[in-house]
Amino acid sequence: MHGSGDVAADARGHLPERLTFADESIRGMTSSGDDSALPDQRAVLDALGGAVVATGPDGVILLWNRGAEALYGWTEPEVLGRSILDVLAPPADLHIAARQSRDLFEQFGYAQEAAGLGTWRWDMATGQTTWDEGLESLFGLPNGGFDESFDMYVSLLHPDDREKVLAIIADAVETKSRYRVDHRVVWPDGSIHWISGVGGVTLDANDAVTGTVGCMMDVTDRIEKELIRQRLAEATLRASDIEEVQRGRLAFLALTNEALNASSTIREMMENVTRQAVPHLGDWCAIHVVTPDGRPSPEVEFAHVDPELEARARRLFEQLPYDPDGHDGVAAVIRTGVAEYHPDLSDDAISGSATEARVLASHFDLRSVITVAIKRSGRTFGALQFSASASSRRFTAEDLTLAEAVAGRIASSIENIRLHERERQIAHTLQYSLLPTSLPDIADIDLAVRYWPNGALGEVGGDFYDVFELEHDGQLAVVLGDVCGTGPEAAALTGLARHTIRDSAWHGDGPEQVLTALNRAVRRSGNETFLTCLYGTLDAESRPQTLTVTCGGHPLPVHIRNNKAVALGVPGTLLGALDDIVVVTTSIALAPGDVVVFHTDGATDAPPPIDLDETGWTQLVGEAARPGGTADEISDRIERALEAIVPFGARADDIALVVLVVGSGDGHR
Amino acid sequence: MMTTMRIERERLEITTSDNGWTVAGEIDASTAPTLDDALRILPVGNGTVVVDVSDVTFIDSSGLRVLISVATRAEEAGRSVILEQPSPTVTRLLEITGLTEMFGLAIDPTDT
Repeated sequence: MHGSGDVAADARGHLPERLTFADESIRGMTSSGDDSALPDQRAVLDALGGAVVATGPDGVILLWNRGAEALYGWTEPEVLGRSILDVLAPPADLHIAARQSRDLFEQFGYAQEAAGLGTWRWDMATGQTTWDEGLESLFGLPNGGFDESFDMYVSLLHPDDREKVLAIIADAVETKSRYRVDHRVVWPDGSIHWISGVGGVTLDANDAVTGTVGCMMDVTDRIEKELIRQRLAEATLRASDIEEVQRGRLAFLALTNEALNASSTIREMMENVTRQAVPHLGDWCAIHVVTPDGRPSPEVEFAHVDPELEARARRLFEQLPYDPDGHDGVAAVIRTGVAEYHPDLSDDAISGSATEARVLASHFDLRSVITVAIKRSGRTFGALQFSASASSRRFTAEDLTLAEAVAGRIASSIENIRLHERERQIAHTLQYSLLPTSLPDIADIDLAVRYWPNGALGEVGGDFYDVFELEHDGQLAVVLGDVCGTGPEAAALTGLARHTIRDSAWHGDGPEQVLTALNRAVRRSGNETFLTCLYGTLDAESRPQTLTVTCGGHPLPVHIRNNKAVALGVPGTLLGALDDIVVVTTSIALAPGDVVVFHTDGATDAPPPIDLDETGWTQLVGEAARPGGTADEISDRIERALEAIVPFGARADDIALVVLVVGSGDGHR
Repeated sequence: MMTTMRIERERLEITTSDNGWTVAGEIDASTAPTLDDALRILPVGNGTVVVDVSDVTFIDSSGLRVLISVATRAEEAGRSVILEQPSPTVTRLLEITGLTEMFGLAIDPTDT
């Protein structure tokens, strides 16, 4: 604010060299059009011998006559629009004022009333402090209420500002310079007002201080507005910080739930959780899960906001041996199940801590750390760790609570995933145990079977097949089925279906009776599910061989003769959905070279964009059978063609396939 | 009053109508549970329940299970269910599973 005045003074030539002025920036402001004085009035003002200055209520100079120009050395254009406080600030060196013979104090004249200014003067020789009426009113005193003592002046200063004000004045006297200070005063009625004051020392011809002069202005409105603005800004900032953190927490909680739901393996869950944790809850998240096979070091996954640092962490952690007996950190939390919470790790705590905390703090500057046990009903599955770098944030008790809540959800997710994995294993075992281990050996009939569990979900579907010999020699039953649903329940229903069909067939029941019996068994089982089933019989003794096909809601098999592939049979009612079913048996005489392909709807029921309907399937099977060959060869061709259209990984359902090839009649099977 | 809910990134859209629902999109193992929830309570009244499936682009056995349970509930309430303007994928599934009559789509089973 100071300094540039020296240059200006040189340019003007006649200004005192040491005059400085505050707030040069105001110079840029003009009084644009505020010059309300009329020309003839102006002439009168100029003709007046004395200096006449007029200001607006805000202290901005509106009028500056020739007398003022002569007295203060500023021309009118230079001061219009500027604050009176800045222009009339008593120069540190008042030689010029002294030469003007008139006291500056009296020269404020018209200005002070309009601007709400007050002036004062302290005469060092007499010790008298003189205040004008304006200054008294600025201090809340009646006219003549000021007792002219410095002590009274000091007593009216706000206690909190007293020291500052006195120090600034003392400094000004010491350095014979001017000062400017904003401070509060306490009125006799107790109200507090803000005062902006400028002052300076008066000097005699020998540069000795003779006293001080100055003026003051009430700036309560401006300061209060500014303070309110500041407080508001701070409060807004604080609120938005808190909100930001809170939003991060909620977002993390929601994302964790999603991440947990989307995870079907432990590893997937670990990756999903850590990816969601940063940056919503800190800069670093690590999850340690103890393996059920009892290996000493848990599985680890982590994420850092900075991918580069994450890569570095990965290298570091690979080299770090896991110490299950570590006295703090992850190992201790897993061992004891008790959470660790360090809002702000000190250097001492870091140097004395277990490996991973030291690594985190020293390499990544992670100083706020929460480590909670992933536990449920007394069982600890691992530990979840969040860290925030020294520059971002410090965790609070709320974060600890959140971390524990998240860890609890992770624990039940781990339980579910493991349970599910076990279930899947059981179902797989069960499913495969229900499939026939060998196929009957029959003259002139070549059989091949295929079973592909679905690839997309890793679930066990409900497809099954069975081929068994009936009571009479050379009589064969071919069964394909698909239970709606997956998992152990579906596997159990598969078992029920297989035994019901064999039982009924061995009792000598015809195809329709077999499926009716199966429908009844499913209805009675109480299972709220249903199944599709194809029951076929083959009389391999007769010539030509006779095949019957009966479908209960099941896709029709494909019959290929002379390179012509057609669907065989008539659709019938799904089993288990209704008390009464309608099924129709179709019988055909087979010819040497005939191929019949039975399948479950996993082949044709792939969701969009894969489009393989029954027509497409029939065509595919026809193509695969065209080159001839054994049932196995045709099955392999079907598999390859299917893989090209519906890749294994995209299959949401399992597929069972039975391929029957009629031999040439030379006794070869 | 019509309410529409979309699930699974808009793979399935269910809109309620005065006498039933309009279902559009894909019905498979992942969307079927939501459909099942949405179709659990039959529309008020004792008339025929109508399910418009003209815009169903995919349906598998899990979707069929939902339709069957709607039909079962309707039957228990002495009402029937009609599938309106079934799309080819719906028709195909109902034909294979022999359930056309159950849903008011009389197709002669020996006509294939």
